[in-house]
Amino acid sequence: MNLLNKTLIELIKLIKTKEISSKEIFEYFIKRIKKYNKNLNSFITINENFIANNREFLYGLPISLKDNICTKNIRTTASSNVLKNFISPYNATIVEKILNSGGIILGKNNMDAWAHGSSTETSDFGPTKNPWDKTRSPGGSSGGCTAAVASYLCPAAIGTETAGSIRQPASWSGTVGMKPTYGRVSRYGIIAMGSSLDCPGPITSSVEDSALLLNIIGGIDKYDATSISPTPSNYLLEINNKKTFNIGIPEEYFENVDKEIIKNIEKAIQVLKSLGHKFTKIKLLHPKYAISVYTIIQRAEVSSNLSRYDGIRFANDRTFFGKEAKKRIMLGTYALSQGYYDKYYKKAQTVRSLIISDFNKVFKKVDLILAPTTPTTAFKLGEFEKYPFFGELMDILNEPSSIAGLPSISIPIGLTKSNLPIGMQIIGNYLNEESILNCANFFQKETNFFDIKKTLLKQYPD
Amino acid sequence: MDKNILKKVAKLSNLQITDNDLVEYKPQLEETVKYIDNLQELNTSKINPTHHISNVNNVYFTDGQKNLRKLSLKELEKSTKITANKYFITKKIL
Repeated sequence: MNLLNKTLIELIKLIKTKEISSKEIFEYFIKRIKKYNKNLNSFITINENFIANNREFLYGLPISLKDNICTKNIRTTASSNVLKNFISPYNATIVEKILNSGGIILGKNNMDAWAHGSSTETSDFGPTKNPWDKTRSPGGSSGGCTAAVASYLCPAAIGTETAGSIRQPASWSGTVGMKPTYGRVSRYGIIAMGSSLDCPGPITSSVEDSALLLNIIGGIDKYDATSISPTPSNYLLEINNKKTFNIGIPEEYFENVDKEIIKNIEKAIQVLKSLGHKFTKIKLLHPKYAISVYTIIQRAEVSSNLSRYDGIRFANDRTFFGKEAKKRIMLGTYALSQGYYDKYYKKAQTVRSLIISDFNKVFKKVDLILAPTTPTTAFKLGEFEKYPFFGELMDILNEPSSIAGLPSISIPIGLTKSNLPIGMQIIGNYLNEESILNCANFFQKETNFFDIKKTLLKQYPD
Repeated sequence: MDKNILKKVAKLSNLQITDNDLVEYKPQLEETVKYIDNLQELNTSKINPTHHISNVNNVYFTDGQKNLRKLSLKELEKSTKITANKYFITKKIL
């Protein structure tokens, strides 16, 4: 049976009608990983151990995880030599939820070490290659997840985002990447980076799959005190009930963006207009301030979170940290130290309040905000070394919404002339994932994302 | 950024940084610090800081609930190289 490019929802149907078994599907993906991972380096660890799991809602389908999500019995490295041989004594809450919903862990995906970066090149396990062009980066830090989903080495993955780490690689690799509201998905058992920002979310080929996975991983967790209580809707039901929205276009988010990206966004806006959505021009605080707020808060929280890696209770000692982690720890320690705290950390937290109230004002007028996900398409490998804070620059259009804790999705809207995927993001108000998913889902139904995935998978046959 | 401050920051962070490392890191850190200075353009004198956005406070773990975070000594010892008599061994501090 030809399984290539089938979504989770399609695979579930095949299992339910007994046309194929979950074991056969599992073996199919293991075979594909063995064939292509050597070139792409999107997996750090493969779990070949099939344990049948027939529970709803995944009925034994394989899901792959970014390697900062703790898994009992499968090593978790965060792509750092500090954790090279670390095996967590417990599962992250979202892993428990996936297992309880019939999922099987297929493997652990490469990422920027400690999720520090936007190119998957700071990994101590070597960079992941972009499946569209192996001389380019897939983006990051969840680049291993997006490369694996794009090249169909797994049907879906769970990544994490602090500011852009799901949306930006999804955009550069041509997949759907959903960053939920902060607190919507439990952080318990995920290697902490910026605790006030970190957010796990699904990386998939379709918006429906994203809704299905968000149904599974979302919800309050008593082990994460920042997870929030309203029970999430059944997204899968919500997204198929067609709605029309008033969508805001922030002109500040179109400055210094590649012309080809803007052209494709304009085309996508025409599609959305034909589906009945209305568009309004809006003004938002310039995202250049969000870069600074993010840089300070993230470095400060990193310096605190990575202080636990002392090599005493587990893992290797601090001499195993790579350059990027060391620089971030130092800057964070500097920003938090006496005499600089008010100037940097406190100032950043007050500007954060400004960014939040700025979004609050705009969401009184519009239901959703639409913008490019990234100012450029995928960079060549090696480019990041030229910029001291490459990640922040690549994530400029994702940082404001992350700082405000808002949900957003990046979806593919076409290819450049040189065949590189282009992403567009739809940002929603606090806890309003269903509107984002609804809008994105009908866009996919109308366009099938211009069949870009079919184009890519010709290079990756079974 | 003063080189001595950077050395002190490295020491505070328990990182071993060589003079050669500093030659590389210093200009990069300086460029970052210069960039983030743009926040001073914004007037925030009447604004309170936001430390996290989820508006939850005072979250407690009820006594007597099943606590999955609790790990057995045996499980914990698996993760470390050096233990003795149920204790972790650290380097001498004083």
